[in-house]
Amino acid sequence: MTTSLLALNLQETKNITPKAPLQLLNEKEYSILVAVADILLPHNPPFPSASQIDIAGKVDAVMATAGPEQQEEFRLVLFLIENPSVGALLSLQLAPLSQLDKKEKNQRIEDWRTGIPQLRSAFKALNGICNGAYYADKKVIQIIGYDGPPEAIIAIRKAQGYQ
Amino acid sequence: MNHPNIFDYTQLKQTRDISCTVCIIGSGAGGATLAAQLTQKGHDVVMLEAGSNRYVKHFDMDESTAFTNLYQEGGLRATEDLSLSILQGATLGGSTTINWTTCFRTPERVLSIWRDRYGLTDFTEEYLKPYFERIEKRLNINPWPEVIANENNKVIVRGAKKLDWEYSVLRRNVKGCANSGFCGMGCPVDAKQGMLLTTIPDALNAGMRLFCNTQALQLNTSSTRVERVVGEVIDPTTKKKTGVRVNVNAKIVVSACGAINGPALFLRSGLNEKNIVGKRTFLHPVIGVAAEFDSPINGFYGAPQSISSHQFIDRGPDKIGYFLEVAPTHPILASTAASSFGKNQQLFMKRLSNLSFLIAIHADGIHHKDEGGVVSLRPSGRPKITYPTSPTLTEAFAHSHKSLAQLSIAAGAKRCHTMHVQGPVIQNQSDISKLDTHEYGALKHGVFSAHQMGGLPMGRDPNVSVVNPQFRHHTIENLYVVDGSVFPTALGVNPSQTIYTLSLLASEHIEEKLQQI
Repeated sequence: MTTSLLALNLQETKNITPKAPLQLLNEKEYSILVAVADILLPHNPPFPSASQIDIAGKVDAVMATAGPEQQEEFRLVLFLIENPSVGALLSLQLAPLSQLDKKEKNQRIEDWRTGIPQLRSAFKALNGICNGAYYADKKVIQIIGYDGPPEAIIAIRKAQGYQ
Repeated sequence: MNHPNIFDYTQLKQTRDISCTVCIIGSGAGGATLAAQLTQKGHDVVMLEAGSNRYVKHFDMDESTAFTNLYQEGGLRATEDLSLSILQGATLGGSTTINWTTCFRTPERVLSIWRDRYGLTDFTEEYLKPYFERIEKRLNINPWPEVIANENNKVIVRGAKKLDWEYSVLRRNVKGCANSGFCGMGCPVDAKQGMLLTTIPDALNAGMRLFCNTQALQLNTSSTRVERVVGEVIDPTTKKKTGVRVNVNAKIVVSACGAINGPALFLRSGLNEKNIVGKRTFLHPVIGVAAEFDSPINGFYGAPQSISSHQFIDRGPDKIGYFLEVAPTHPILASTAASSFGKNQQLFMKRLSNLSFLIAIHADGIHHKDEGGVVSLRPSGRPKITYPTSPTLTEAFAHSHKSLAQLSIAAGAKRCHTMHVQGPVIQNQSDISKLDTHEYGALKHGVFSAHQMGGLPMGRDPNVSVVNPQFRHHTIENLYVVDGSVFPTALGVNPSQTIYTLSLLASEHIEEKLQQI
């Protein structure tokens, strides 16, 4: 079992080229984050997928300003969610997350969401930060019926010389 | 704000050594109120603020900008296991710049506990009344009329009336409020009477020197004195230390950087002889439900909080009480509160306009066995927060979930959703019993905090408290603590006015000490 898991660990993450220079993550971590974010925030018309609006790139920028321990933990979470040995323990899915089909990816995320406390924490970290970046996007907030700041307040600020 | 006495990252490029009479660390409710009092008496005050000098010009009503620039850890502060998210200011004016302006006098039931258990015998309603009144006048704290409450808050009114529960209008520190709803992102029209517009300008105009982007790393102490405050300039963009030091020699040093950062400063400084620093940290743990209505609620507009119910604040000596308010429903805040993902989460968010977010805020630390959480240090020196959910708090969470569901349905919600990992949908009063079969506590459902208290508690007994009733450290004779970290328990009401009030009181004790030096 250990040997086979070790072999599986050597399977490669499906690589995705970043849309902008990365500030914290390496390309492998970015690729994992893209795969996870697209499960958390899928293409679901009229909603865009996370990758369509580069949520992974935005999360990378946010995490670049976090404390060293938070950065380390975030990178560890990405490694663990991708790592097939962790996935195998939970759901017998032996491939890296980024190479699973959509249904299998969903299942792995669901296993984390409802799993042992450490996995729930990891799910919260990924879900929270990806949602925070996604619902900051102007197109997305229009879809959910949030029109942003009231015109009257914008007018007051403009009169005072502020944006 | 523009003022010749403000220095920030753009100017602080070389290490400097400063002398002054009083060094105040932190510009929030405690520090700024104190600074205004001391400078007006002619004292030479230096204030260190780790956050940036951001003001109305920067408050563009964009949630993402606000979290990144105005909140601790870019809005990502949380307990170590991420079970409890913590909203806390990290900007000039501290949390008063981003709070929702709700003000309460300290309740007598809490003061009586402080007197009886912690020896704070002066702390009576009668004794504090003139201080309450002074700050109410200075910050224009007044009731917000029910008639202009937004629909989100009116849900509490409708539900409470139907259930015959107590509710009341809240008092807010605003002047000329445009009722926009963006308090949490910094007031866009300079109506909020936080420290930015009141006591900080008061102090600057009376001569205070303010160093923004300057974090107090450590207090260098002898056995009885703080000899030097070691500060370091922080790059506001990368949030990394620059290596540029701001060292302050002061006759008196005041820690006013809040619960969590204050205890962390003490721990970094080795000031923990009794092993009580950072313990008994109280967070007023918040749980919520999203109540869905047929008609629009638009909880992102209008004064965020204007109604509360204290129906369940006193549940008897063996139970943790809680009070009910609402939270605004701006997209980022709302989305991070939900526990689902994928299409379910998107569909939930698509109903945002019709959702009311009702919250229950738990009064931790009042129950005799409730120890709250603990602040310790990460290897980098940043604070680490742990907050175990005790069985007593778990019971309170179960009770408050049911109360919020009951309130929602009574107010006319067609359904309500808890923030459980696998929660029920409640469509009528009989569905509320479904909540009996669910689990409560850390990582079972969303838990939040917007109020941080304790960790450097006040009391007469040096074995169980860090400062004495005069706000002075029990053994370091020139070190004071003036912020919410001195609370021996949580309050069961929003804490800002108590901090302002205690700061006025502290200023008199510090003035008295200065007369002796």
